[in-house]
Amino acid sequence: MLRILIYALLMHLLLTSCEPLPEDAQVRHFVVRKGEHYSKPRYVETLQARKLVFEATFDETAIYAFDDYYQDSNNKLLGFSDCNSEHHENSARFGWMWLNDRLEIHAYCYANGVRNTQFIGIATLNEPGRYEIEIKDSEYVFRFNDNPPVAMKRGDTCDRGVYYMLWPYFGGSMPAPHDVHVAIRVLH
Amino acid sequence: MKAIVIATNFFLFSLVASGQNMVVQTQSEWTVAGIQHGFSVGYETRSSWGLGVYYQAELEKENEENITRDDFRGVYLQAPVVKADKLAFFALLRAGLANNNFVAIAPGLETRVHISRRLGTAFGMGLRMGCASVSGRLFVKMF
Repeated sequence: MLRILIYALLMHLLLTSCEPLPEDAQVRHFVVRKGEHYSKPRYVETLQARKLVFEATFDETAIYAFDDYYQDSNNKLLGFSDCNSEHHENSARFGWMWLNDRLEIHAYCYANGVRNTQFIGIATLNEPGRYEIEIKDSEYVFRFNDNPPVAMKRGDTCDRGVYYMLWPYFGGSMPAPHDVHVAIRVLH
Repeated sequence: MKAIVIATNFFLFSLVASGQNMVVQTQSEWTVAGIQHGFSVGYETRSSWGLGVYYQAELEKENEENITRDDFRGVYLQAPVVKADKLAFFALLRAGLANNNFVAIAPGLETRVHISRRLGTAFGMGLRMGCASVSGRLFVKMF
């Protein structure tokens, strides 16, 4: 009996006395390879709360130049598809584009199959920005750093179901012109 | 009422007679989003396969806007991996709803240590919200 109690105590100490992970260890480094749209590594995860909060850091690889026709298309940063919906039907994501020599951040949504986008703010290269999407009954509220929040219409969808996560994606129709890196730390 | 009592007795006696158990557990889980506490009630076969329901929630926390509390409820399936006299390893799959609306699946592994025939403790590691979680449990085999 004593041996078992000692073992239980040791297991408890082993499993609960670890130091918290350093912040760097919780950062996921995504890369979209030249000529591709999807980022790697690929994850399969679902949203589990009414708020998605994360930090993202872009570096100089976010700078690119296309013909004018393609330059202002949104690349996708992070978000989720809404309840049991395919993401071109109902979803909410942050979009980004390199335009006019600055990194623009946009709210990017589908509501009942209709796409809506709205400019939110400017991101600084090599500095983490704080991003947040909150799900409300009939709208999504996007927050980015200290910029004014942006509310976007939410489609007529269910409340209870699967909300799958949408990871970084380059495009638009144009694939990445070179390797594009972004570091993301999901906070909640 | 009589029928319910008889059916319940029949069920409990059948558990005792066949070496199966009702297991009640209290649990705490350290997730990337905070610590959740809760309980589970399940049915365990003689070969240690288990099926049950669970509920766990954070203590209330206050943010800048309101008071929130994350929770996670659903069903679990437990499969024995290795068993010894006082020690056992299990694979655990939990599936349910997080915060009432979000379907979530959480796989994990658990080490169970029997303190006595009916009482024990367990330590687990799992995957919650895309990150590792650590859990601790106390369990009682009721019948």
